[in-house]
Order: sequence, then C-alpha cells, then structure tokens
Amino acid sequence: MTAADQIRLTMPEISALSLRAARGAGLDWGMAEECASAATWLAAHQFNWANAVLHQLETPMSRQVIPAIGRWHADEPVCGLHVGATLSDFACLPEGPGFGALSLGPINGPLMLVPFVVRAAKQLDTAFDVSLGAPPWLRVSGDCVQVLAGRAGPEMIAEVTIGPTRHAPDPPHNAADQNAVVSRDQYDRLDRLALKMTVPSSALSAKGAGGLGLDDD
Amino acid sequence: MTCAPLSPVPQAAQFRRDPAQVMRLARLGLAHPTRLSFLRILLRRMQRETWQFDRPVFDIDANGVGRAMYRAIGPERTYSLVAFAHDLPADMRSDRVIATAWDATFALFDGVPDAEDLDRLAANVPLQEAGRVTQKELTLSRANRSVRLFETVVQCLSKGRQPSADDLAATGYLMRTTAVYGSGKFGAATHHSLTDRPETAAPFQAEMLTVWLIRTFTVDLVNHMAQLRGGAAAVPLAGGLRRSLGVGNSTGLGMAPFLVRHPVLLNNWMMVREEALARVRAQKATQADKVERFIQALTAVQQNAALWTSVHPLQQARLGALRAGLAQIATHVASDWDSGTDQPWDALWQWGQKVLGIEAQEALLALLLEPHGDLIDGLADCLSEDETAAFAIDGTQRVDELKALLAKNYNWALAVDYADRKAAGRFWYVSEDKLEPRLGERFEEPGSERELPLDIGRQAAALFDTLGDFAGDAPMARLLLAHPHHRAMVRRVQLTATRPFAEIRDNLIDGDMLPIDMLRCKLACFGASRFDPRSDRWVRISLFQNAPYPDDLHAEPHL
Repeated sequence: MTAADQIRLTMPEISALSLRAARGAGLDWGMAEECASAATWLAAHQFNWANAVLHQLETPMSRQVIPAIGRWHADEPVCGLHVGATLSDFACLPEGPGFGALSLGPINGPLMLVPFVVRAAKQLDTAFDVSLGAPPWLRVSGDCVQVLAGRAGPEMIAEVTIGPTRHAPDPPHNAADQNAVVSRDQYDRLDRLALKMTVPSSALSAKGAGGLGLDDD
Repeated sequence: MTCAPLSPVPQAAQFRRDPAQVMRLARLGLAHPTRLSFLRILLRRMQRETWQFDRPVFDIDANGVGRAMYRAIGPERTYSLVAFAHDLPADMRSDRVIATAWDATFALFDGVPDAEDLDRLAANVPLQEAGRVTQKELTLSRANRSVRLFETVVQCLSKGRQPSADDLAATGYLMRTTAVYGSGKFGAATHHSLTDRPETAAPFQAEMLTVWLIRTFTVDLVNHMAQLRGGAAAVPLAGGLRRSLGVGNSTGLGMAPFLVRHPVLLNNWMMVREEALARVRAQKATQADKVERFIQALTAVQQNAALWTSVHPLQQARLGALRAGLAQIATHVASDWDSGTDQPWDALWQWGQKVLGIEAQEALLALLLEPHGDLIDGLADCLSEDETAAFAIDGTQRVDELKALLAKNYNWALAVDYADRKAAGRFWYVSEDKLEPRLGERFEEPGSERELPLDIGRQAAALFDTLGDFAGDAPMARLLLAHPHHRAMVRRVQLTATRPFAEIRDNLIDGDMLPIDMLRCKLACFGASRFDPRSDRWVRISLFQNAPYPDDLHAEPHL
C-alpha cells in the first residue's frame, strides 16, 4: 500500500469518525458511543480497528443475546459490539464473568468484543483469558492485552469463552499510540456511513448559522 | 473533580452555590471571564516561569504576503507559531466555516521547525481543513483582517500618525480568528499526549498560546506594512493603543455542542469557578491590599463595559444592565460595605444577590476572585480530567437508585411537555456540506430523525417514564437489555451523579433557547471579553484585549 492509499488519523479523529459512522449505520447514540470507544481502544493497541468497525456496521447480524449464569444464549451469531456492551453492563452481576468461566455463545466479529472484556477485567480487577473455541487467544488485564495464539479476523464467527486467570498479560501491551493508519478504502467506507447521519443544510438554517450582517468588518 | 480533600478552605463547601441556580442557561449566558479563565492561566504560567520570546523569521512584503515565526521558549520546551500571511481579495473574505481562504493561517509547532517542516507546513497550513498536519503541530488556525480597522491603521502609521483610539476601541482587534483547531483535529497532537506537560495540562493552553502569539503578529504586521509603505515617515503603533487591541474571534454553533458532549469537563470548569467563589466568600476577614485590588479590578471592568459595544438589541440591553449594576457595586463598596465586618466578601456577595441583576451578579463573581490568587489559582490543576474514566456504565445500579438521581438532578427536565411544538421546536444536527453543527426548526425543516443527542431534557424524561415499568431492585443492565436506546442517557445520569455542574439545566431544543448563551459560557471559560452577538447563534468576541505582549509580559503586575 502506498502513502497515497492510506491516511493517518489521530485518536480523536478515529473516535469522531467511528461515532458518526455507527450512528449513520443506524445504531442508537449510546451504542454508537460504545463503538467509538471500542474503535479507539483497538487502534491504540494496533489492532485493525477499521475492519472491525466496518464489519459490525456493514454486515446485517443479530443483536439479541440473553445473559445467563455461566452461558449466554443466542439463536444465531450475535454482533460483537452489542455482546461486548452487554458484557460490560453485566460484568459485576451473576451473569457476568466474575464468577467463573463464561460462554458467550457464537459471536460475529469477536475482535470487537475485546475492548469490553478489558473493561470488565478492569471493573472486576482481574485478568481474563479469551478463547475462540480453542486454546486461549488473548489474555487481558486492565488496559493490557497479550495475544497468546492465532488471530481473529474481523469477519470471524466463533464460540467465545471468557475465563478468569491468575496470570497477567506478559509482556503487557499498554496503549500508547496516538494515531493509526487506515486505508483510503476503509476511510471512504466509514465516511460514507458517517454521511448518513448528516442533514443537508436548509436555506433557513444555513442563514442562521452566520451573522445577520456583514461578516468581514 | 478530586481537589476537594486538598482544599485550604474546607469550610468553603457551605458557601457553594446550588447547581440548580448556576447551571441555568440564562445565567451561564451571562458568564464573565475570571482569573481562572484559560488565557489567564497561560499568562500567569509564562510570567512565573520567565518564558522568553523571539521572532526568528519575519519575511513579509508590502502587501502583507509572506511568512513569520515566533518562538515561546519555556523552561523545558519551545513552541513556535508559524504564520503564513496572504493578500486575500475582499470578496473571498468570510468568517464562516465555509470559507476556503484567509488573510493569514497559522500552526503552533512543538519545538522549532526545520526547513523540511516549514515546507510541509507551507503546503498544508494555508489549506486549513483541506490539508493535514502532524503530531508535531499542536494547533491549526486562521484569521482575517478587520476591514474596518486594518487598512486604516496601516495608512495612519505609514504617514506618521497614530490611529484614533476611538476607532481602535470600536473594533478592538486588527485580525479575528475564525477557527483555532487543536486536540487531534486534522492530524494535530492530541490533548491526551500533552497532559504530562505542565504547560499544556490545563484546557486549551496550546490554543491560547496560539492566539496570544497571533495577536503579536497582527501588530507586527501593521507596523511592518506601514514602514514599507511610509519609509522614514512611518511610526509604530503606540504602546497604549497596542495594549487595547486583542484578537477577535467569530464563533458559531460549532462550539455549542461541546458543553453537552463533554459533561466531565463542563463540571470541572464550573466546579473550579464555584469552589473559587466559595473560598473567597468563606474568608473570615480581608486585608486592605485585597480591597484595593478589588476596587482596581472594578474600575477596569467598568472601563471595559463603557467601551464594550454591540449592535444586537439583546446585548445592548445586557450591557445597560451590566453598566448599571457595576455602578451599584461601586457605590455600595464606597459607601455602605464594611470590609472590616465578619466574612466581608460574603456580605458583599449576599448584598449583590439581593440587589443586582444576573449580569452584574456574574460580573461581581469575577471581581471577587481577582484579589485572591493565592487562595484560588491552584484550582487550575483541577480543570482537566480523563473523560474516558467515567465512560463505563454501572450495570449493577438499581432502577430505584437511578430514578432517585433523575428526580434529584433532572427535575428541571421532567415536567416539560415535549409534545408541545415550542418545547421541542428545534433540533441539532450535523450539516452534510461542512460537517458542522446546525440548529433546525423541527416542524419546518426535514432531518429531525438524524438529530444530535442534545435533547438531554427530553431523553431524561423518556428514561424516567421507562423506569416506571421496572421493579425498583432491577439492575440497570436488565433495563438496557430491554431498552438499549436509553444507554446514552443512563450513562449520563450516572456520570452526573457525582458531578453536580456537568449539565446545562435547560431544554436545549426549546424554540426560545438562545444558542449564544452556550457560546458565551464556553468563551468566558477561555477568557473572552466584549461579547458581541451577530444573531442568536453567532457571536464575535475578543481575546487578550488589554493583556501584556511578549515584550512586556515580565513587567506586568497582577496577572
């Protein structure tokens, strides 16, 4: 990829773009905020945040999950973003991961889940191993993350299990990046979604946006 | 905010104003700059740390075209304002965000730029939003000349005459900025990346430094152009006149949503100001030098109010009330107020609450803070906060707990009938053409289905209604599972539970709401003066008027 094919965005730009894209894709404001927060976390930790966000926003998928103790239920693979936000909400409740291993069921786009597992780890002051139906994929603790084995592409569908671990991520990978690169294609797709939350300026509001008199005095 | 346990005036808590009074838009819209405003914090630090300033580059022709560089050299780091001056045809000059060319464009560089950096900046900074800067830049800005004043001043100076003080006072600036971008916009350094630097930890310090150096550039520019035009006959702008000039700024709706979208910061900014007032009011006694400083500040504010003009009827009325109120304060202090009484500053404040209008009450607040830097300046450390720390929703919170919080902190919102056409008459949105916030008429314009979530009161009321369908001991996680559209408001109610000044306590979609009140609230935090509304959603202000310049900063008392 050449420099012309990519663009470097700061974290506030990633947050703003993701928020608008999520809203343009039809998410409620609260979930759009979660999407923006997750996107910046992924970007700061050098994950492919744009692909993760685009997959969640461009792919029709279920958002329905039923939290229960030990095992969450869903009729079909569920959006990682929505499961993530729900996991964060239930983190300290019996249905959360604080009382032993928790199976979240089939997740569409498990990478998007990771920032929320980290948040749950912070809330519970513990470390978790995240598995995709196999040996642990990630180990997270607080704001740190360690990739243990394999990778999760943004379009992956996998049975996700979270289990407490006594081991902290080693070496810890703290967020330090203040910007991240996206491809021009990714940027354009996010931007197209973001435009869907905008409104063409009416003559009335455009006039009101400026002064009533000359603006060059 | 976490400064309360460290307060040198623990009894101040009982003197704090009720957020229900402070956070009404009608009062926020009459806010005045204080010594805790961001530009004052910057000036004090630079003076205290004996920052040095120079101008290593000033290569500008007789038409005002070229480039310049100003350096602000602190104890650990140097910041450089890089300026590109242009000769803009009059028909291209616009303060609106839709403009594509300006009289001057600027970037604040982290360090001292080399030739390669300058070439990169020259290729991008004049383009503003259409260009990109990097982590090496802290801000990106632009300014236009005042048509009324700029050429007149150059003409006068070139002929060896000083411009009229009245002309200068009528405008107040040679150039006005139309945007000062920072905090990661267009590729610039993020505020988060600068918080470990003491000089940029407080809010908008890089932006304030940018504007302050721009002010110097504008005066240097008129002096330079006058000298090239008039040769030996030319004179530089006299010191007193120079001092009276600030940098103008035009601000529209783009600034308004910030206060709603950043409740943690709004709380801190207001809490700091209110804590400062409470500390002053809690003083058992005062000293003669503090009273004298108060009177000096009052005189200066009266002089400023006399010079402050506006063509907007609303502001004209407010100015009349301010001048009358300041005169009342001066009379009371001279004749009735006993500075030797117990808690004298509180007595003065209490008198003001009974006698003065809101505009003058808020001016009195700013005046009371002026003599008390030793008591309150440290509060500047409490203005910033990592907003992400308050982001996570507490899913364990019970429905009845959240309901109690709503009843306590959002009672101003719950009784409004949002089915009423006036109460929900407007909607905020992002414009498709410039991606800027706009305000639409809900029942006259399309697009309300895409409105921005600034209808806080309406959301609070809707959430309150939904809570009634749940058992009191149900956890919030269950409510959000069933009603995910309340997520943003639940987060907000939880966040504001411990941040009493986080919310503007008014219906921001009401047909009678005045956006300029939101603008003035934020601009006063910056330290702006001379608010001059051009409509109900567009305001001109001045920054750094009557402040020192780099070459006289260290001779200045009372910063």
